[in-house]
Amino acid sequence: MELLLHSLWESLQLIGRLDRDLLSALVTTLRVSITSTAIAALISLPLGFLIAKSSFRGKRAVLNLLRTALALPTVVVGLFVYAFIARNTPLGGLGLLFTPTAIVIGQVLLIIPLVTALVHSAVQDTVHPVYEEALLLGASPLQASAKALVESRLAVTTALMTGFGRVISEVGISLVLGGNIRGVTRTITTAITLETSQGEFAAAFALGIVLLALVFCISLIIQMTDRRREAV
Amino acid sequence: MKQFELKDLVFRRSERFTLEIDELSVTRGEKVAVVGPNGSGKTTLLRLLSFLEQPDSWTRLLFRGQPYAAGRMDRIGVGFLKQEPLLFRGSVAENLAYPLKLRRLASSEIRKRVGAMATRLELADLTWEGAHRLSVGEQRRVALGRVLMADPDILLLDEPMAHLDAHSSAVMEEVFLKAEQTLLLTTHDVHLAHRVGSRVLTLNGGRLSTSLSLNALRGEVREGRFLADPGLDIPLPAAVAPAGDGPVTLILDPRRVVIQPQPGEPLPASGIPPASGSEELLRGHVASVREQGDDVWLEVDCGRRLAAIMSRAEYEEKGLNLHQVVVLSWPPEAMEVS
Repeated sequence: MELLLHSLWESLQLIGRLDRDLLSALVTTLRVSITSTAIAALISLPLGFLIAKSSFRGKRAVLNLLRTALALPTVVVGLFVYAFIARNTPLGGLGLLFTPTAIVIGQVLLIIPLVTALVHSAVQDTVHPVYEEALLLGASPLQASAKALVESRLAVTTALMTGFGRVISEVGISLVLGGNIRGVTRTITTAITLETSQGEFAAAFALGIVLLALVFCISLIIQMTDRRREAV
Repeated sequence: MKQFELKDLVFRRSERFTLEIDELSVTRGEKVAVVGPNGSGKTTLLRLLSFLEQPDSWTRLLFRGQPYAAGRMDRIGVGFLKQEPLLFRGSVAENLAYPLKLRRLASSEIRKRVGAMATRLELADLTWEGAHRLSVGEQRRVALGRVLMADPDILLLDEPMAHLDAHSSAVMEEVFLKAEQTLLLTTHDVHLAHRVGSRVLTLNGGRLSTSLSLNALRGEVREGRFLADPGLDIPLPAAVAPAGDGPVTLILDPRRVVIQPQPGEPLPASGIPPASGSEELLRGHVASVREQGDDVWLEVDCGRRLAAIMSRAEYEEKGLNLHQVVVLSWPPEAMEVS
């Protein structure tokens, strides 16, 4: 209990004095997490929608595969990407290893199955009737698809938030592909790992509290926006 | 110009149900009402005509003179109001504006048209209400307005009045009566079908026929009695009779026509049995029997063929058979004169 209170106090102090390392880790965390979620959204939204809308042989197998991929250990994804971007590997010449871009690549691969599966679940009941209704009102297939996604926006937002929560809290990919370089690829989670390995438990806890507060604030903003939309 | 021309069209929805249309053509501006019980294929027919379903076979299937090509039909100009329409999230105005936004109309023009449509459908006070918060009748009016906003020249209406309050029904019926579009309406309400449709067809067990239109009797009113060939003389209750004498159409709701068998009565040789002396009674013989779900549809030849619908249990209880002589009666509320 004492450790928790001490950590809470320390986290307030860290925020209060605008600690440069904390701010840097915070900015890196937000930058890679938002970028990963946005890229994954661009892939997963149409993919989840298409799977929900189409009927094809092997659909169940695809869904099972996606659900299995939900349990992917982040460190395995990190190692998988590492095998492609480390020196003396096919993409080694691009110099991606230990950059925020490498973290983004790993995180995108991590949450594509998650967001796709959640988007599929979110729209599978509404996609057909909304799509059909929009077509009947003169929409093109693309416009009708967009309408079906917009109509499921609350569930789709939840899917994206879940993906965001997964990447902002992961440590395996950031550590393996980012290398925890101070001021460059150090995220809050890798900073927590570092503090813990150095025995600085209070500092590690403080960073954890900052991370949780960050996710809470983002979640709150999205909820409030949704509630305002729902009020109409 | 013909909007639709169908010949020998077959659509198998399942092993248990097949829609078969021998022939159907709908000309521009025509108002066709299709009457049938639940499960008779009314919705399937409209889904085929709006190209949401693909028929299995046909010998002729033309849309505005163009041959049908699966998956490549231009749906523009075809408005389809479903029995349970799906309203989008957002306000009434947002729903009404959707088809106009697709056409990229200017905001000022959209506002103007939305306002006009809301007024036309008596939704002006609800324009900014959430569409999902409205009553069933209001929601159906919003859905109709949204269909009309797409400016269709063909309106397909699937049971548009089902489960509606009187006010919403009246508002919508007014729109249908004044509509200049080609209109194809399905309903189980025979009176509505005859009020709105210039032609009434029956869909029964997946087959289209004109039999129910025979329940619309054209004749004239004289001193409170409805007179029509051949020898029909039906007294009209005060609530139904028009103010003056003259030509009218009497519509009988087939679900309220009561059939009583007359055991031992021979089949009239003439085929035109005399009208009974009793009020609201006609004699005739059962000319056709068809099962439809839990219902049985009968046609009774009273000189004019009249349709009657009853439950299978009632049919079996009465022991009715083909060619059997029967007496028809009905309550005053089964009649409507227009």
